[in-house]
Amino acid sequence: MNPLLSVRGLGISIGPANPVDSVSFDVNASEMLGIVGESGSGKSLTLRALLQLLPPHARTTGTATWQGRDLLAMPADDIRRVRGREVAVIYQEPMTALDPVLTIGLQITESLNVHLGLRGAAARVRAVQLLDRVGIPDAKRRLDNYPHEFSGGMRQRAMIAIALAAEPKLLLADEPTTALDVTIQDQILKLLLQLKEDLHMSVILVTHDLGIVAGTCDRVAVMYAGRIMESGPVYSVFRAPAHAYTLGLMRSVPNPAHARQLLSGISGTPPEPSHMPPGCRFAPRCGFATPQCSEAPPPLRECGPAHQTACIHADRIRQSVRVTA
Amino acid sequence: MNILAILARRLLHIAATVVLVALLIFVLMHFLPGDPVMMLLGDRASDEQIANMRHRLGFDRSVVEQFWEFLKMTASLQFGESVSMKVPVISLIVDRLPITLMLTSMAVVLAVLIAAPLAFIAALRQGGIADAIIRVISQVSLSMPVFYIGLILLITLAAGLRWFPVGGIGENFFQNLYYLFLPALTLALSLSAILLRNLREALIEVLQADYVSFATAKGLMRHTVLGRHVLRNAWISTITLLGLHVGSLVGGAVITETVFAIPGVGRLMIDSIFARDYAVVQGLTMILAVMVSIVFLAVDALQALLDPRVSA
Repeated sequence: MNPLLSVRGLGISIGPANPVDSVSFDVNASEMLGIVGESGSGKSLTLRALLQLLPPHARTTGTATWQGRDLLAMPADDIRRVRGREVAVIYQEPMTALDPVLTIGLQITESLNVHLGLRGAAARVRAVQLLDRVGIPDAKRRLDNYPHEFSGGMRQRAMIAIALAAEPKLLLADEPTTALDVTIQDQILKLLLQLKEDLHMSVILVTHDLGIVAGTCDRVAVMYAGRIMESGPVYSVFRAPAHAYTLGLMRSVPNPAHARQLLSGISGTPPEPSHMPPGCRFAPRCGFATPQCSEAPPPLRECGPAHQTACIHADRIRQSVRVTA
Repeated sequence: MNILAILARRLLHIAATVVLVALLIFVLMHFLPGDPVMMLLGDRASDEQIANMRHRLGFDRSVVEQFWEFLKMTASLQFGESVSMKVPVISLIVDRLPITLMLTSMAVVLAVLIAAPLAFIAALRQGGIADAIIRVISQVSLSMPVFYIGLILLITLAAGLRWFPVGGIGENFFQNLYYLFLPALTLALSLSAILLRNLREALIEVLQADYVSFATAKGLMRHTVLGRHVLRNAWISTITLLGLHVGSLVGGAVITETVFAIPGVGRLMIDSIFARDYAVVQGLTMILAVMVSIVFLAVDALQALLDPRVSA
């Protein structure tokens, strides 16, 4: 089966900096792909590049094949028709992503209008159904509210309703729960999973939270300093990490079952996008690094069923996991 | 709080402003050097004539009485009689005000028509050549005095190219549109530079906002994103600024009407000051203060309408 979206060799340059470099991944139909990484790893830029939403001075290379066409090379009018209709996005902070001076109703109906040709009363009826579907109570009355009259969780629900108004096939979710309380986070994630099933939609979920990925995603790609370090099925990557960075991320997560354990974490800070290290970009912070790591950027290679790693010491890392476990 | 409550509060502010302005005018006029009675009667007036005139003008009563009288007259729009032109002040003002209102309204419209498209071009091509040129021109027109711009326009477009009349006004509304174009442009230029700078900054900030990116990501047409989402957010601060500058527009009108020989309230003000025609100056100042306050009120109401967060 052909993947729904196939990204190959995506690179983003902004001036002299290369915050994203040769990123490749596939998204299959009805699949939830997690992209994890620290802030600045290029995961949000990658999402925005797919719909040509980067600032005007940013340049992209590579391809993103969608329905036989390259999203990155589409003319403005064509990519506009893809946005919202076929591929939609939701952002991290609904307070800043919703227009503060327009009602929620207008912000939904304008999507219905441009993609489905719905106007006036018909558009309002549909808007009420959409708000209903994302679990906003008293939806009819809420239509005339402004974003600041909603609570944080309700705003995020409204943003999801707006993004999904035209029932796209792929949703790009950029840290959709980061700005929310933990209890609300859980509700929003359940809602996303539910909508993904109902609408037979695929989701790319960008987050820095490994727990969210483990709980919701089918596959995961781990990004660091603009490159994919490791990717594969969630159970395989988390059970047998084959990259030192993935291992470091997993060890930075506190485990409530073992209170007061020592978190090992990762020492140092990510490199500046304008001064990327040669070879493996994680090598300067890596406990497993050898001189060979800094010679050339290691390509992704198979290290298990559908499981790929960009680490040349994958076997040593897996051994060390077995020993400590 | 709703818009009505805001309006009610602002009306109270206006009443307070009017009383304060009245007090200020009253105090200022009474501490000005020069005696209007002597101005009117000349050096050789007899003591009896002077006493009569002082009584007629109410100068023989106490200061508090005079102020109370002044307030009452102000409230009923009775500003007394012009001593130099021998007609009621209010009829002078009613005669002259429409032409000044037309001049300033045309100036506001022109300023917006000049500023808005240029601000859009500059903001959308931020850092480009067009942006640089627009910024230099706005800087230059900001730093030139109003009367100087007026004279340059007069010499080039009116006297030189004969596209426009050199001064005066026409006989009906449509002729006035033509006669008042150059004066309005003179008034508009520095205001449009101020608006341009503010709107450009606001547009640049809004263009980078998440909600604009999100609106684009919804698949909206470019003109919908710019017209509905970008402009509606960016012009809120610019409209507030425009309202604040209507006061200085009145000051500019005084100069412009003098340069272009327009018989509006600006000219009337200048002439009355030179003639020490207290009653006219007082009446005019009051009327202008009230009008500027009403503009501020309108701007506040407009802001509440444009930005739902204001009335929250």
